[in-house]
Amino acid sequence: MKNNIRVKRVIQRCGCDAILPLCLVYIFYIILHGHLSPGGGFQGGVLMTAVVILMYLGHGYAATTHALSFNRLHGAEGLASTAYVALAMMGVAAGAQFCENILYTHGAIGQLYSSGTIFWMNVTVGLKVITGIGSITLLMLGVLNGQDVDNLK
Amino acid sequence: MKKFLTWFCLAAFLLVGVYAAVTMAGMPRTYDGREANVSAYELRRDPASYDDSTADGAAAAIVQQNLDKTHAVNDVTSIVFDFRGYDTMGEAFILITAVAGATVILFTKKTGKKEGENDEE
Repeated sequence: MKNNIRVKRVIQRCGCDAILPLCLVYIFYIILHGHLSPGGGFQGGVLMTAVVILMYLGHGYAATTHALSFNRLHGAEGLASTAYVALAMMGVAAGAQFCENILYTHGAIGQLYSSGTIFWMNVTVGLKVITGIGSITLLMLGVLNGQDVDNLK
Repeated sequence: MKKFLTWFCLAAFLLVGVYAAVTMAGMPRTYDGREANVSAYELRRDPASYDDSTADGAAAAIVQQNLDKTHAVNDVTSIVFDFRGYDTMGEAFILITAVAGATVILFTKKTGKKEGENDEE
């Protein structure tokens, strides 16, 4: 076969495009159902590595850095950690202890939005792990491709 | 502008920390089992009185306590994000340190492998 490598690349790209949205939906499913089923922010966010690597395998380094910005990911990580501390400080502002669950009567038991600050802390930790792991994987792909740190936007 | 923003944010964090420390200094303890509406306090003082003949014995007490306190079905998540939320905050801050350390370590030396780029598009 003459065009064997090109055929392989098309198969690789189509496979990555097919799996990537499923991976993203699975990440948000695990993060949002952290208080109902096994999983949570850490476990869902680590799957972002799979998304970044699938992007890299299917479309190459230039398309990955075009889609994901390192500085923006790093900024979102700081924002998410600040949001976690703010959620934990809500307990102090309401006259309870640090990290105490003061909104836990919102929603019925077993609903998607229930258990108060546990849900929101899941969301913030999930955003934080998504962005942190994504930026680490982008860094490693940059080293693999011989980029300097100035080229990572 | 950026310098001002940095110092402003640091001052705000310091003020919030001082406020938290002052507010939390005179607070009572939480979750010592005294106000539990299942008989967990008596259970802790006299464990032999509890009926653990069935398989669901102690697990049912744990799940019921957790549902009363947090309304979360998953016990592990409620422990990680509610009862030990301070620990989770430290775990989450490790990740920022890891990103900063990886940036410093991976980019101290300039790797001169420019021809190895496999950008396809």
